[in-house]
Parts: sequence; structure tokens; C-alpha cells
Amino acid sequence: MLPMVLLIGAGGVGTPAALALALSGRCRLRLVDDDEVELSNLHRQILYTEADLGRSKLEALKGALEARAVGVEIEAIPGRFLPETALELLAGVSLVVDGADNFATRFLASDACGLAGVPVVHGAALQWRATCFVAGSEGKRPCYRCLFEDLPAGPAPDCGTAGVLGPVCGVSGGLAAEAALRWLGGDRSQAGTMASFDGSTGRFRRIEVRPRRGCLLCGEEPGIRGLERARYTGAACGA
Amino acid sequence: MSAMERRYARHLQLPGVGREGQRRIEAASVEARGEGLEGWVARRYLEAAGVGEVKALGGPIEGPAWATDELREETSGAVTRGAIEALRRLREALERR
Repeated sequence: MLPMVLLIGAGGVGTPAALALALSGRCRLRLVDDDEVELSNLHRQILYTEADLGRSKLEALKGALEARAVGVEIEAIPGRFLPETALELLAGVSLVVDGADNFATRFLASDACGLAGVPVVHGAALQWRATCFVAGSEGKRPCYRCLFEDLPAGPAPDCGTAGVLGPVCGVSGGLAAEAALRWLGGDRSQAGTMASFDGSTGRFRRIEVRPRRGCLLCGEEPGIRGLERARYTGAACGA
Repeated sequence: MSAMERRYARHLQLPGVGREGQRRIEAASVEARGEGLEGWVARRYLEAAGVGEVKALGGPIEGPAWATDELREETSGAVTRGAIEALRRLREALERR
């Protein structure tokens, strides 16, 4: 049986990642999202068309993938990735691709994967920059919290307020799918690294991320032992 | 807010694009390289951005040097290369007067 990849978010980063993963023929997909297709999505979420406006993204994405990747096995689970549902959604999953549009879900994905021992790849796109962070072995050492520590205290820029160019999302989703497929194929060379692509210059960098001693998830004295709702409060991009 | 403003809201907010940039994108006729999946991805991102006319050039995309090493997987590499090709052509359209 092919390994199962959980994809969080069927938006700008999630759709190109899903396309690449589905067409690879090397994994099954479990998709989770709760949004509907809106007009402001169409400039960057290239698997959706005007005919999809108002439909659930999950349904539209599943249909678009099945039409292009015949035989691909897809579980579409409507809803958000939440502290109450995270571990259930991770059951039987070999790897997570996080294409979420908000920090709360990103930190939750990191913590849930770290606690459950599931590898995770975080893709993000903002303005002209695409990034892809591959957590260390089993979702930690280093993890997303080694990079960003905790949720921003106030409002943080997101694609809804700061804008994004569509293909930047495609670069992030493609890099995330690349990292996922390498991992599933036994190649750990990208573990613990952050790739960054600047669409305004075409410059690409990959840096090694060091595990942080004081990291709440995977440091020397980890404080996170469960997924408490209060830890993950933050607004979604809504895009 | 008009339908156009809602559709391209993320471009209108973006430094380096804005209203004038979106006008240039919509006025542009763009030739994009790429065959198969990478060509499809490049063209779809250009169409989605609102480019006036998108022509398919065919032939392989001449990706940046790093792309050869970094993007080994067939499908994920094609998606990334296609997106980079679209970005390159959008930058050219934005620089045009």
C-alpha cells in the first residue's frame, strides 16, 4: 500500500503540492480544509476555475486531482486541522505537508507531528517569497518552533494583507512536494533545512536550521506534552 | 469593490505590482516555455494572473542552475519549474512600459 500524505490546506500552496503529489503516483492523499472557492483565490489557486466559485475547495480539489491523476487514492476530510482532531487526522499518515494559511495551524501542525513522531514539511508564500521548511526526523530536532518559537503576539502579515504573486505559491507547493517525495523515497538530505526563493530576483537559498536548546517542542526541557487549545489562537488569512 | 479588484486583490496589495502593475500584466502578450506539466503550470499561472495573451513556446524551460540539483522529482520539479517560468514572464511584463 502506498504511503499516506496528509495535506493541510487546499489553498495557494496546497493545490500545487497536491497536484505534484497526486501525479507522482507514489502516495495516497488525505486532504483537510474547510474553505469555499472565492474569486480572490483564482489568481493563484490554479486548479480552481470560475465554475468552482462557492464550491467547497475540498470537493473541487479532489475532482481536479482525480481528473488528472487517474487512480489516485484521495480521502477528503472537511473541517479544520484543530487540537481536538489533529491526532485522529494523523492516524496512518507517513508524512504531513502543511500548506496552512495561518500561524496557529502551522504551530499546531508542528506540535502534533512532533508529538506523534510524523515527519512534516511546511510550505509558505508571501509577497514575492516562497519558503519550504523540512523538520528534522519525526517532525522535530529541528522543528518549526526552533525557527519561530511561538505565535506572533499581534497581527502578522499574511497574503490577505500583504499580497502574494500566484506563481510564488506554486514554487512553495512544488518545493514542499519535492521534499515530501524525497523523504518518502528514503532521502533525508533536506531534513532540518529551510529553502527560500525570492521571486523578485530568482535567487534561491537553502540553509540548515539548528535545533534550539530552549525549544518548547523539542528542546532539552520540552514544555509541550499535549495539544491544548489555548496555545493555538490566531486569525486565519481567510483567502 | 469591483469583481476585478476582488479577483486581483492580492496583486493590488503587493509592492512591485499594484494597480499599474496589474494593468501592465493585463496588457501583456507573453510567451512561456515548457512542455507537459511544466508548460501547463506556467500557462495556468499566467492566465490566472490576468495576462492578456499567453502563447505556448514549447521546448524545455531553461531553469536556474539550482533547479537542476534541487528539483529531481519528476512531478514536483515540473510544478516548481513551471511556476518559476511564470514568475520570470510576469517580471518581464511588469518591467514593460
